Amino acid sequence: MKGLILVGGYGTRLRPLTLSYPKPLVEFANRPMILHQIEALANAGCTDIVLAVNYKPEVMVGALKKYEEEYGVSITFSVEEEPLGTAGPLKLAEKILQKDNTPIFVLNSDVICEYPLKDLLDFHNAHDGEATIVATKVDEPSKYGVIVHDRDVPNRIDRFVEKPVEFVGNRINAGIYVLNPTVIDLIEMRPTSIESETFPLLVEQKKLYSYDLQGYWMDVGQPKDFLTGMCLYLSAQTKKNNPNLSQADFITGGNVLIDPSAKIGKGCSIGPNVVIGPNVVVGDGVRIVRSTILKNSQIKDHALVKSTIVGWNSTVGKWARLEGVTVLGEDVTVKDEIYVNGGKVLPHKSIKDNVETPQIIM
Amino acid sequence: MTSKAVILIGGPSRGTRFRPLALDQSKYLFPIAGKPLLAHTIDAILKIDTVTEILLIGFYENSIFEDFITDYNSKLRYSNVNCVIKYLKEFKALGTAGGLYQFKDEILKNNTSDNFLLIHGDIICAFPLVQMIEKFEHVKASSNQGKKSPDAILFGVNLDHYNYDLMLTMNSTYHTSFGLIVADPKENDKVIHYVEKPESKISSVINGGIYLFNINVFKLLSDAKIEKIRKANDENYFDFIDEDTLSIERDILQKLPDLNQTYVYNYKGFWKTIKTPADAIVANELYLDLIYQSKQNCSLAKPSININPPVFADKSTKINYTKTSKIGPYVSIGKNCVIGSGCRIVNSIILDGVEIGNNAIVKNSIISKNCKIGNWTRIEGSGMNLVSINELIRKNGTSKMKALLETNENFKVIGIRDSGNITILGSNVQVKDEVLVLNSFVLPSKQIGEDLKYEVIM
Repeated sequence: MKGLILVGGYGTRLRPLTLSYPKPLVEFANRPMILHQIEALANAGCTDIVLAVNYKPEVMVGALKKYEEEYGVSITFSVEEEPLGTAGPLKLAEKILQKDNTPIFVLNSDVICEYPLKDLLDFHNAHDGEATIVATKVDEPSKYGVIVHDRDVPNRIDRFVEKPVEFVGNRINAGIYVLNPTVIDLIEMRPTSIESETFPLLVEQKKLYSYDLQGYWMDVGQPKDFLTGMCLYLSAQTKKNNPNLSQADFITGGNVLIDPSAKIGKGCSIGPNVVIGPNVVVGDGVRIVRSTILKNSQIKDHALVKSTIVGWNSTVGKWARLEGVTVLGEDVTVKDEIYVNGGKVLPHKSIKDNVETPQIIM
Repeated sequence: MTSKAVILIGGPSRGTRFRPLALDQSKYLFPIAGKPLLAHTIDAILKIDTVTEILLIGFYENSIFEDFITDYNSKLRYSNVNCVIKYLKEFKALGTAGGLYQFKDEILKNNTSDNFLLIHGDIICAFPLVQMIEKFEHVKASSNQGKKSPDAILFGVNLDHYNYDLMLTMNSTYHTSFGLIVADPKENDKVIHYVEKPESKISSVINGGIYLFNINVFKLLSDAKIEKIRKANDENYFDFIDEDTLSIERDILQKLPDLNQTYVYNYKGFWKTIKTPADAIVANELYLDLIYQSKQNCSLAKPSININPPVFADKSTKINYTKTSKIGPYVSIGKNCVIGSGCRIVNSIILDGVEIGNNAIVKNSIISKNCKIGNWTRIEGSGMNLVSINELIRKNGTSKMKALLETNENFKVIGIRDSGNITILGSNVQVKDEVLVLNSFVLPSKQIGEDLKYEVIM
């Protein structure tokens, strides 16, 4: 089995975090984002994983080396000279992807969900199509491309309706696919889109099916969605009784993941929906809710951190208040008693004055 | 020596700018550093040993100051101070001098000297009253017309000498809101010109609202009164004339320079008029500083790792210190308050019976009686306070500071530009856990469950 992860660019939408590390290495729930997908692929039996990237992944090569051993997979970088869209990378990596007849998983690196890949594969093998799209149901389908099924054959896709005005269905493409290797033959070696060019061909041949994803799904490519995705992920862990969730007495409302190396002070209230990374030091009387604190950061006494991502090696001062999807880049210092609302703070900055309205701090 | 002092306190229709705090009581009774604003003025007057009567003139109902005056008088009797405080109610709003004229007999009765002290009740400063009297006596003694008393000693404030006062001058048209005094330094600072709110800046010395008047100024008031009645009866004069009102500025000060016997006492310390709640925060800073630097600083909380002076906390207040709580500088806390652990309070006034939860931060705010503030709340005014002004001036110098203030709308000095840079909670307001109240006014008895920014909650 083989898998392709569409990583793409550096992840500008997740700046200022991605000014320091490429997006796949930014920790989501204390593990690099890409690892959630690598693990899912490995568990589904993949041995060859291709990362489709369009920048020089020096820092990633080293980072991913150890995961190759850990998960017993071979990870290859497929570097695009120019962005090849969502289908081009498959063509570019055809040597690996077409080396045998087993189906290929294609995952979007921004997506966080349960990854029921084994179940998906069974579904794929059970129908006569060439490809399966994972579909997720949304409340407002009018914002997306909606999948419309064939009236006669269950799950077979009849057409896609882009941003429908009238209700035609609420299933949308979740950015996860299983393809038979022959699908690559339909793709030309140029920048092309799998959604708008390859899939319509398969629809014509009546060879495209959709699989309903159970549970949560979130594109975590930008800070606001990163936090929403974190909440969904943590809720799912609570439902699964994940033993890694913290049960300490300072937890309020559950859904809290704390790295064992983090230190938490007295009289804190943490949760719901909080991730605290390795070596983080939280002082006394700190309140954290709906936030991610990345590794080596320090939250000083009596601070309140709400709907915020605190970047690596950052310091939040005493009685500071961060909220409103504030994102601190790497090595940012927020001085004592400062209020930051929706600030996107670039790395190595020191914040000495209140930031009352959402803005970028250069 | 001076035996009578008058404090002008106006009336309820004058205190509207002090809302929402003035909804509960007169601004003069608003407590700062453990005592009402008015008590600071009275205590400054009591430093003049010879004063035997302090008259409060205004048009508030008698009942407003009744308790305050009764308590004060019994305290004075108890400590054998030979001085009585009296409230004299004008029959209506009489302008700045109408009350003086109405109560002329009270002011002259038992007056053992030829002068009396007059103070606008909403002035705060270091009150160098004894020095003003000394100046009066000095002028008298050195008079070449045989110990003739001057007509008046004016209190001239030079705004260039104190960092906060300097802020008042940062607005290039500041002179249009003050009375300006021109004096001759070669002649013992004899006043040669007085002009009220001029269009051009003719002097950097402003009228600070404190006067040591010769009792002969009543002659000027009688003349003004006669002139008014004459005009009111003049059929050729069409404007409406309220013959009851008189003005210190128009009917006394502007006439004095021509009489050639008025001098100015030059003052270079802190000075401010208290009109809005933001001014109360400034008064709190300035008075706490004054007390801290004086001999009475034992009334303040002792500096420690938790207390950054100056801080006043009533003895009945319970502060739950943990090693990380930090209170001050410039904090006044009233009676029977409970302050939770890990709290940060700076530059704020907390009135009686307030409860503050753990890990809360209160900054540049006034929290009125019996408010309940939850854990991890943030009650904040974001304006520049005394500490930040001093720091900015030290870093940038005054000229650069001026440029900063003119170009940057965000630099709002508390008590100067507008009042949108402090937070005030009216009495009995409840703020739930983790809520932020930023630069907002909350009227009494409201429950705040969601963040407030730049709002007024009725």
